[in-house]
Amino acid sequence: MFKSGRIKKNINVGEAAKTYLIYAISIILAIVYLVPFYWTVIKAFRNSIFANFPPNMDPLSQTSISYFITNLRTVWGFGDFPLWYFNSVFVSICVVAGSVFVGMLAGYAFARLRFPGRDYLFYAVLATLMIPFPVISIASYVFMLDLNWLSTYQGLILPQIASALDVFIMRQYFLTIPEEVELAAKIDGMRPWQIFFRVSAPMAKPAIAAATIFSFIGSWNNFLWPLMEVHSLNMFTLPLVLNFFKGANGTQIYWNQMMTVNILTMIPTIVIFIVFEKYFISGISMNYYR
Amino acid sequence: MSVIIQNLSVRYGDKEILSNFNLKVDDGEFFVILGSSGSGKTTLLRSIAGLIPVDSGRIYIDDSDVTDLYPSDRNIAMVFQNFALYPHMKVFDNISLNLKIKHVPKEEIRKKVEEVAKILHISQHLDKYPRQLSGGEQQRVGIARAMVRDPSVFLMDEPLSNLDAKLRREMLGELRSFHEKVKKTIIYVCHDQDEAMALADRILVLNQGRIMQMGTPDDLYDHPANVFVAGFIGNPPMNILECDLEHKDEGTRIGISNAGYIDIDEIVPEGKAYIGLRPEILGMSEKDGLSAIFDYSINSGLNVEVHAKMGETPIRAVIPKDEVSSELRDLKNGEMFHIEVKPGRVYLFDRMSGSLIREVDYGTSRKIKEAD
Repeated sequence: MFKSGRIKKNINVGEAAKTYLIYAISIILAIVYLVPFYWTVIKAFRNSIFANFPPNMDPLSQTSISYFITNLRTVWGFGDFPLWYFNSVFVSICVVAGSVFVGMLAGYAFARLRFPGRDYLFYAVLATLMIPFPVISIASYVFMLDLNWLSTYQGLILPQIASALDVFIMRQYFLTIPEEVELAAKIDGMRPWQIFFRVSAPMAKPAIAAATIFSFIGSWNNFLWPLMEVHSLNMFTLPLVLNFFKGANGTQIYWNQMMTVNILTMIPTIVIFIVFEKYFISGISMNYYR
Repeated sequence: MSVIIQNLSVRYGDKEILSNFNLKVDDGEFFVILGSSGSGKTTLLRSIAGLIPVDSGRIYIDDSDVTDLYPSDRNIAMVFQNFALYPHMKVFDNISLNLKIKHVPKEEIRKKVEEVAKILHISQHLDKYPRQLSGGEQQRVGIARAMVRDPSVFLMDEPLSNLDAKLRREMLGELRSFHEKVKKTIIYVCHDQDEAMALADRILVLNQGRIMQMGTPDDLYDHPANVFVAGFIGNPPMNILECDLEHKDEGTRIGISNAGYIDIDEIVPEGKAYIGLRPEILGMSEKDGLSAIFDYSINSGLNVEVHAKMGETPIRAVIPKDEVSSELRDLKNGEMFHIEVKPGRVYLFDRMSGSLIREVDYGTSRKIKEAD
């Protein structure tokens, strides 16, 4: 009913100043965040492997599409790059599918089902959010070693699937959905599993979108776990590959090629965000929208 | 179809919401369960629907025991306060979901949905999503969803509470004619006595899981069984004042603390009691009557609703506008005035149990005496 938000007509000077200040800060922050992206893009269109200081920010100087194509070819032909790219995509898709699904089931259980110790269990899950991954990384490594799962897809994927954040997002969202809709479904003849898949889950789309974006970014950018888990080149994921272009032991950094890899790495994240952006805000603000 | 509840007990955690509850709703009846929040009315309705587990007791619908049946197998339909439509489905799918689950042929589904949509004036909305409809339209969809299944019993959980006042009035009439059309048992839960009075064949007043009174709207209005019902039914409801009963000249004097007394001709056992006075039998007087302190008044065109205090107890009087003199009209907040009791029926309730002692016709015979 109050969608327009233009209820107050006389915004006083103080509030106007506040609004301008917020805009100014937002613009500055946007620039701070966007400049590195900008430089990444123009560097990928250059021939020179060197990075100068201060950086040359002119988009027309020394740039050319043919340089970019050359860089792409070089990068794509480097080692098993297509395989590594596939590894990253495959692992991330599995992690997203797994962790969102587990998050939905667990979140629904914590929000709707009644069983003894439910809330304590939920707080325990929530508490794992406070534990940084490096703390449990050694234990996870030894676990994978015992299972003989080092340098395998399941070893890369499964430990990333238990996501307390996804459980939390889903649970909070399910709590905002009126229970009566599910009761109505019961009266209409749906069994509990049908209610979950055909009513509750479709209503939780915004939370699913938010959880998808978070878990995708988490898995796609994950560096530490693949670094520990993967010991053979054919299981490498992109964050590990990026490390090659950084050079080691004083070898030369190929800045233009590295930036090209960066662009290739960013594309899936951007696509995922664009696809789910519509629901994202509603999802992270934990508000059920009709 | 009739609904019979036998010795029903429902607990929620440690709290017993209903215990050993018994009820019989007759076939074709519009039965309203009236109570404030926490009275157990929603629990009762949801137990009938099978939406919450019951601890003991049996529920029969149409003479068959449904206590252990899944909600959809009870041949009931339910309408919810917040509509509870499926937001991701179009109106048509909202209405037809149950039939689809029951594998009714598509042609028949379309026919049935169009039929109920026509009755409820939502034919033009079948291809829209619920969020594109107004509250009133959404609730019509909710009713259509219930109606399309042709259930034995309709359960309605405050279906009008989320609608604005004007729409609610409209829907009251429509629900009444809907009932006459389908001639099915309707069990309707609400907290609003206006709604209950307007709709019900019979009303059950529920308080903390116990039946306070059950009867026709007129029964409840004219013969409230206790203080609770008296204070619930009527708009505005009856005034309930503490009083002392004392025998006097072959009658009884009803002393209302700090305000005065009225005399009746009947002998009522002496002691502490409550007196119930309908706002409509109270008037304003310049000279004598019960003394009260003026609070404020609300003009409704035909009547003036006067809000005052008698001691610490708030009291309301509904007075025809032409009976209020100009002096009384100018009363200010905090000023003293007198309230007279016009001839009519007053109610005496037991102070301990709250149940009715006696209904007394006040004033008529005494007036004849004075004329001698």
